Amino acid sequence: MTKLELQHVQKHFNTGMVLQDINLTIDQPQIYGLFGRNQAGKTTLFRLITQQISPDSGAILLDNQLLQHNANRAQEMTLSTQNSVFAPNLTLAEILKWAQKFQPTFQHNAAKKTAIAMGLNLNQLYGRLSTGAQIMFKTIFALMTSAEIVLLDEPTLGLDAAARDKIYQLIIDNFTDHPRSIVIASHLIDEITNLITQVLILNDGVISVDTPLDTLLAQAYILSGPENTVKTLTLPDKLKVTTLLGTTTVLGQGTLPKLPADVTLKQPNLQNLFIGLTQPENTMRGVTS
Amino acid sequence: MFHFNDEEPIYQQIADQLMAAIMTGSLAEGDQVPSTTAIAKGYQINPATVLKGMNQLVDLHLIEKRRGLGMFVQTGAQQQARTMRQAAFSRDFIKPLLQEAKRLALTNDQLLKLIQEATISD
Repeated sequence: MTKLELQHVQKHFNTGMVLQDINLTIDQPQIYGLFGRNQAGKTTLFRLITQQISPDSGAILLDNQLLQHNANRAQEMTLSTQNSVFAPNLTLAEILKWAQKFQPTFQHNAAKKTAIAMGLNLNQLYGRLSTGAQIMFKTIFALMTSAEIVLLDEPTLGLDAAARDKIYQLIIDNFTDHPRSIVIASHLIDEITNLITQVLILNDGVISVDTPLDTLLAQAYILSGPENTVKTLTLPDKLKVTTLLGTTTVLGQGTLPKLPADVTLKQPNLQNLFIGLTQPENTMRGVTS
Repeated sequence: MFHFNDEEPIYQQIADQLMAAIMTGSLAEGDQVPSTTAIAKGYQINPATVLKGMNQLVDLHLIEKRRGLGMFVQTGAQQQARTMRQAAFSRDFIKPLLQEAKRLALTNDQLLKLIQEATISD
């Protein structure tokens, strides 16, 4: 298993977007979900890992060796993102043939079969594809490489529900047959929760969460009950408190005290928890404490 | 087989639904449990999550792993699954029922009458 490590990686842009201090290890055959608000720097993080841009400071290591000294190992990682483009004047079939030439381990036949099954026409020029079809093709392409680490940046951007479903199916089928590290960045948290086992949250320039999904959710709570009862409770790490019609709902993390019978407890879903964890407090609605 | 909700961990729901299938007999004792791979691909769930759910049933001795063959429902699993579900019945159904009855200001007598009426019309 290839081990990718980012140590104190920092990257500033003129636009103000910034990665402050990224520490991250990707070394397990599992599907990681990478989540962050718009402009959090998810794509930048992927481009740093694949050496399309260089960090201002910090180290990116592949199996304990600095990545910039190991250009020959670049094929162990593959990235599908909006700006990674194939030549627009080549057909899909030509691109796949070319891939096989450069990467002998590229699964040429499976790629062709999958592309056709997903409704792509192999004789079409890449540049003539719709945005959605291009993303679909790039995702198929990335998954058909033998890379040990596959980075998928918004693999369902611009796709309709049926097409997204096909992409999720492709990812799970591919991972089940060939377990490796797959990192999916997506805003559609609800849709990919079942695909992933490790949650990464990029917030305020750092990886603020790097936790197994089950552990993260088991530590989180949503409780609701009569306003007067909930007010008296001492609750750990409250992320969001909403009071409406005499009922108070609290989203938070931590071990709860014994709750009165009229307070109900649920486990939040990942999307709700993500919102609570990444929404600056001053923009919250309905906050009462 | 699977219908997922938002309120419990997915691995728990997989364990619960396999247990329900064993209890009703749709997965009979001695039957092979669908493979982790088949469930993962069929329901778009991470195979590690599916395995975690199955391992819960292995720990409860409802299913067993036969090396190289897969998972099978153990002898006596149906009765055991039923016993376990019965034990959880009060927590999962009776307590929420009583809670709602209390909010509706129903007396115990009214509640019992409602249960009897529902039993008759069923």
